[in-house]
Amino acid sequence: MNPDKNLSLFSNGAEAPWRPNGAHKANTPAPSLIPKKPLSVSELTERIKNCLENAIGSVWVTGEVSNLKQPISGHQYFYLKDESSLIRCVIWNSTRRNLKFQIENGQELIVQGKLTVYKKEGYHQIIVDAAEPKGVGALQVAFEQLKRKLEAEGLFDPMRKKPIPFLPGVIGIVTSLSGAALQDILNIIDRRFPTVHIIIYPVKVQGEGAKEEISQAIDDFNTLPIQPDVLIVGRGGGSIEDLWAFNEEIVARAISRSKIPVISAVGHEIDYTIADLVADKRAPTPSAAAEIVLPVKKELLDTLGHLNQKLVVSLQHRAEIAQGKLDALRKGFGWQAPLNRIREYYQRIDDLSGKLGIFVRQRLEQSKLALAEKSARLNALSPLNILARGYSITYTGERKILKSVKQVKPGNDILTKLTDGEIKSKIQ
Amino acid sequence: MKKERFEDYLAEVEKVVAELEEGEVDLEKSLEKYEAGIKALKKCYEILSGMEKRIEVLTKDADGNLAAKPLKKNS
Repeated sequence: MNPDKNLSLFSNGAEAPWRPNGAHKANTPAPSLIPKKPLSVSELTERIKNCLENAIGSVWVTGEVSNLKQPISGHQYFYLKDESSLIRCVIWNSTRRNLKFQIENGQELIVQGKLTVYKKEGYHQIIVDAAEPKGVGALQVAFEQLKRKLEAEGLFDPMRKKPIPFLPGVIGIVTSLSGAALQDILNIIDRRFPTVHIIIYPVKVQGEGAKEEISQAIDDFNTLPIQPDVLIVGRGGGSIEDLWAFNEEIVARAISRSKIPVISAVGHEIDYTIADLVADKRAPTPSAAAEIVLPVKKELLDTLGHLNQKLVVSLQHRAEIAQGKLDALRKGFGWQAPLNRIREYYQRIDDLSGKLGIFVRQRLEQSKLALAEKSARLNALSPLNILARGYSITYTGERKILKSVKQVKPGNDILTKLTDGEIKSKIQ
Repeated sequence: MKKERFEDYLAEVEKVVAELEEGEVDLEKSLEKYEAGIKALKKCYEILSGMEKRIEVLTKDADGNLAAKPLKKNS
């Protein structure tokens, strides 16, 4: 209010009679010391303010955060304290938004700011310009804070993770076009399974705008007419600052809401990012992502070949089991019938396997040989011999072999075949 | 329309093989299963042979529309 005046608090001794002074006599009548014009509270406060702000000004100070308040204005008010003192701090909304981490009660903080006096309430405070958590870096604290927040929302829940398709026809890649990560991925895909459709969405992977581009790319992939079956989102190694975009909430949210399964592939094995935690699958490196995303084509063809072989062998084996059951069949169908059926089956197998190439046919030749051998053995037996040993076969009225009491009702006719003739009976 | 997935057909072939190897199903059923297995196996081969190599880069135009262009080899 009065810029011309010397405002230094102690510079004008004559005007500061209230100052404690050992020279004063205790019994001196007070009225004589009262100046003609005492200071107003505002004037004094203004002096204090100017004195403190000039003498101390910008400071670095460390202490523990307590009594943190954040009204709707977005500004934050808190105390920094140590064992014996505390000081008020305020951090304006605009400054707070630029902090990587959130200030929390109990945090050990180093703040840089200006000491000022809040005249209305008559106290001094620090207007914080910058803050760092003590001991650990701000980024590490930010990581832990976001991790805690998203974990509480259930974003890392294993139940939320979508399965990665075994053989994706279309693979979407969100990374930098010039980065080593893309080359690594393409090289490995080319080695494992070259005949695949890859769509690359080039994005900035570090610096200003990276987090927005990455999350936009993930969202865009989800709206494409030809959607990839899986996405790889990542970049090569770098410092924690370089990888930071993958620790941003906006990227985590985009991964989380993607309907297409996401494989994260950020940095090296040791780098864990929030993106890794939210992703449906974490690949330790971009190269590893390429290995996770596709099988080796040659191995796949080998597997199919083996299955083909197993199909034939198992059917052949099945036929052998059937052979063992011929006893039962033989009783009802006369001697040739079952064998004819088996032959018919083999003919059908032949037809089918004609489409499958030489291998299958060879197998079938083998199985036919085995069958011939077995049927020769079977010929030695005759169903008549079995009947001669005292067994009999009973048929229903429809000439079906009677295997269960459920097949007949009282009043039904049945026919029993014995070694030397037949008996007709009626069910009672 | 649901996409035909290789792994589904592969699983079907594996299932048929397992069932046949167990030998529990009767002969008539075995043949049906065998036929189904062969059919699924053929599908696997079809899917593999139907895949082709394609590498594209998405670009966004001024209106925000996305277009895919083949990746330039030197990039």
